[in-house]
Formats: sequence, structure tokens, C-alpha cells
Amino acid sequence: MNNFLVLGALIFAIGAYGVLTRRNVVFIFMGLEIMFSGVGITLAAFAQHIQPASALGQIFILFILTVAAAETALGLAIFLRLAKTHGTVQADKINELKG
Amino acid sequence: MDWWLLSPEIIVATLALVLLILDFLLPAGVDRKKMGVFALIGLLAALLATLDIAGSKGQLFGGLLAVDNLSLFFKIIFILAAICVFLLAHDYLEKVPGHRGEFYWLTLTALLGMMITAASSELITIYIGIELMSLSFYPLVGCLKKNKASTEAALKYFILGSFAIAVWLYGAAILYGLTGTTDLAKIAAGLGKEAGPLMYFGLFLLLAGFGFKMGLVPFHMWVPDTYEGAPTPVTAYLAVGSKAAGFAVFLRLMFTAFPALYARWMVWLGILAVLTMTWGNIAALRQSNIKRLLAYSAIAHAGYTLIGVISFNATGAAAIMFYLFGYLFANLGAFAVVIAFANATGSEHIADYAGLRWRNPFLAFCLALCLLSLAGIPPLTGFFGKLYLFLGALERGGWLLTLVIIAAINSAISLFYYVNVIRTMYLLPPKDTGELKSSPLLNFTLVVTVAGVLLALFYFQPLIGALQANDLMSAAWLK
Repeated sequence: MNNFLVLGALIFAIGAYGVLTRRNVVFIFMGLEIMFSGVGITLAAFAQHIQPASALGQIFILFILTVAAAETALGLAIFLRLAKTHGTVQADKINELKG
Repeated sequence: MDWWLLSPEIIVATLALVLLILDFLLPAGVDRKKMGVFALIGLLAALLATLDIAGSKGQLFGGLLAVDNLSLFFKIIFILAAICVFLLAHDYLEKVPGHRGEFYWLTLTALLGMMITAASSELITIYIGIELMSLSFYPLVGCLKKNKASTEAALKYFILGSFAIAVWLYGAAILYGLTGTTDLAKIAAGLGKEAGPLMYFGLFLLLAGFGFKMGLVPFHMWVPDTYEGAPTPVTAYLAVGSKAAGFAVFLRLMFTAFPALYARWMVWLGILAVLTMTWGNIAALRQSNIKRLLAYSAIAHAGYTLIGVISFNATGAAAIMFYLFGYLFANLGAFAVVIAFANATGSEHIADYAGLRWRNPFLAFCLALCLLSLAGIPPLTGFFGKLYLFLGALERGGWLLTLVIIAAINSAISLFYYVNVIRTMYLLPPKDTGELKSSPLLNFTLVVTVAGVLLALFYFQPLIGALQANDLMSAAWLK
């Protein structure tokens, strides 16, 4: 189990690193998706180890995957709108609001 | 299972789906404003249904959703907020290009998300509720399609919101792994008295996720930008609904699942509360845009409200509910004036409010009253809310006394920027002397919200009495 937990933590950390360092919003978004995968692996490892007979952990993962799909669609719609209004998807060039 | 207990959610969900289908079926040229009227009638029905089951207690879907005073009270807050938002949005939506139908059903799905969030007593359901609410709010924030600021606000809210929910999920996964359950009450049982570092790490991640939803410093970066860029009715909805939903579920999580770790998380939350109110107030001092000012004031108010969670007693929990109830009316009233002013002049700058007393005395009076309530001046609702929060903290005693003193100093600081707006409206000469018209519907909304702000004068005793009967507080571990 420990190996899978470490893998989940690593993938989560890689995703978080991508979100925090990338400048292109599409890559930031990929980082977010990687973070969700990390959570999924962690959950699967825990579910298999502590209660292999119960489906609770798997149900949690299924919900995360479903919602993440909806989130992807919404995110891409916002990026499309962004490309039309701002002409760029570079996060550091989008700075009308500050203070 | 008693389906009647679920009637508010069923009404709101049906309404949202019907409006969604109508929006697609109606030809593009048809005025969508009638959908708003339809939604208002449906919301009134949902409000009546909620009032009808007030005081009842039960579990739905085998303990996934809890029907108790806490969830019912917050449902009333959310439905009232949604009703006011529909009233505020009616004139404002003229400015939104293209289809306007999506505003109505997205507001309703966000409402459904909040209602589920406030009622959920299980981690997966909390996740679904929060995501339903957030996924409805992202497009609502960006619904001024041609507007750069609105799109940018949606982007920032979306990225930071998704990041926060990912962090929250990792915390929830750890919690599940250590206790083998996602039910809050069973987590408390599985936790025992001792907790390892991994458990504290999970709790910390959960706190970070909720801190984002409630707009606590240092998870507040999205608040000012999103509040400023979003359409003003959506900002009002976000400030009242999203935050109250965050506090409702946070209260339930901390009180139900983590009483054993109280000694540790009270310190964390204490630090967060001090940071949040101090930074919110200091940053609000230098704002020139009224929406940004209200955004930082919302951050500061999240800090005050957190004191109720830290007190960890019946008074504190009841105080949070009463405080958010008063905050709902004061905040919606303030945003109603901002909308009326922006509809007439197109400006959101505080300097342009100069001499509003002569241009429209009613608007100036309402804004002054709402801001004074936010500042916590007696005898307005905001004062009693703060008083109850402080009483709860004093009941707990110890270093919470320091917290109360810091909060009191912060309230004094906050007076500067609230009174500054009032001074601008009442003492400075207007640049443009023409009369400033506001629509009858907005005036009506203002009358309702101002009545709510003054309600405390007459009704706060029975209201607090009803709140203390809250069943969350009857749990054995709560003194």
C-alpha cells in the first residue's frame, strides 16, 4: 500500500507544482487534473488496504472523476472566452484586476 | 425516509431543470425576463416548504443529508439571498449581451448546491454540494461575455477554486484512509483521543480548502478580484450565499467530526481569524472601488464569524447563524445601492458617490444604514451579531479574550472606511447635481433588506431563543 500512497502523493505534488509555476492557463489546468488523479490513486490505495470489501472508496473516486469531467468542460469554455476577450491565455498577461 | 423533508431541494431542482429546458426551447428573440418571475414564484414556494418543515429533524438517504435546525436555518438564508438576487438582477440583466436565461437556472443550481452543502453530513456529499455550487458560480461570474474584467474574474475564481477543491479532496482522502469512513459522526468515533501527524496534515488540507470557500487570509487572493469583476448581483450572491454555505458545512465538520482535536485546531483557527480580520480591514482602508471595498469587508467579516467556530459552544454556533442572517440583509442592501448607482451612472468609484444625499436621499440613507450595520453600530443587526459572537468567545474564556479584544479593535478600524463612504455621500458636494433615479423594483428590494437590518431591534430575542434550541448543540461533548 505504501508504494501506492507515495505514488499518489508524488503525482499530487507534481500537479500542484505545475499549477503554481506554469504561466499558460491550459498547462495550469493540466496540473489541476494531475492533482485530481493523485487524489484518486491515494483513495484507491486506501480503499484496497483498509476495507477491500467496501465500495466506499471507489464510489468517492467515481464522483471525483465525474465532477472533474464537468470541470474540464467548464474550464475549457472559460479559456475559450478568455482567448476571445484578451487574445491570450498567458496567466501573467491577464491582470486588469488588482489592488 | 420522509420525502417531505426533502421538498425544498426537490422544488429548487425541478425549477432549475424546467428553466434550463425552457431556455433551450424558447426562440432566441423571446424575452427571458419572464423566467425570472417564474423562478421567483418557485423560490417563494421553496421558502414556504422550508418554513413548513422548520423544527423537524431527520436523516435522508441513510445519513447522507441531515435535516436539522442548522441546515434548515441556512436553507432559509440561501433562499432569501436567491430571491433578493433575482430582484436585483432584473434591471441589471439588460446589460448582459445574448441569452439571459442561463443566469436564472445557474443561480438556482448554485442555490441547490448550497442547500446540499449545508445539509450534508458526509464527505462525498459535501464534495458534491460544494462542486455543484462552485461549478454554477464560475459561469455566473463570467456571464458578462464581452467584458474583460468579468472573464478574468471567472478565470481566477475557476483556477483557485479548483486548486482549493483538489487540496480539500486530498485531505478528505487522508481522513478516509485513517478512519475508514466518510461519515462525519463516524469519523469522530474512529478518531479517538489520539491523532498522528498524518491526521493533522489531512485536517490542515481540509481547513485550507474551506478557508478558500470562506475567503480567509491567506486563502483570500481570489476574493477582491472576483468580487470586482463579477456582475454585481452575482457578487452579492457570492458574498452572502457561497460564504454562508462554507461556514455552515465548516461548523458541522468541526463540531461533529473533530471535537477530539479541539485543542489543536482552535489555535490554527485563532491565528487565521486574527490574520483574516486584520488584513481584510487594513486592505479595505485603501480601496477606491466600492465593490472592492465590500470584498475586503467580506474578508474581515469572515474573520469575525470564525470566532464563533473557535468558541466551540452553543452560543458561538447560534451567534454564527444570527451574524450571517444580519450580514445577508446588510450586504444585499449595500449591493442593491451599488447596483442602483451603477445602473444610473455606470460608475463604481466611491468618489462618484459624493453628494448622493441630494441626488437620491433614499439610496444614501439605505447605504448608510447597511454600512453602519456592517460596522456593528448599535442598535442595528450587525451589532447584536458581533455581541453574540463575543459572548460565545467569553463563555469559552482563556486566550479567546485576546481574540475578542483584537476583533473589537478591528471593528473600530473598519469604522474608518465605512464612515468614509457615508461622509462622501452626506458631506461632500456632488459633481453632478442631477437627480439619480432608481427603479421601483430596486427600491422595493432595499425596503426589504433595510427592514431585515432593523429586524433585530424587535425580533432578535425570540430569534436567538429559537437558534439555541439547535440540535447540533445538544451533543454530549458540547458544554
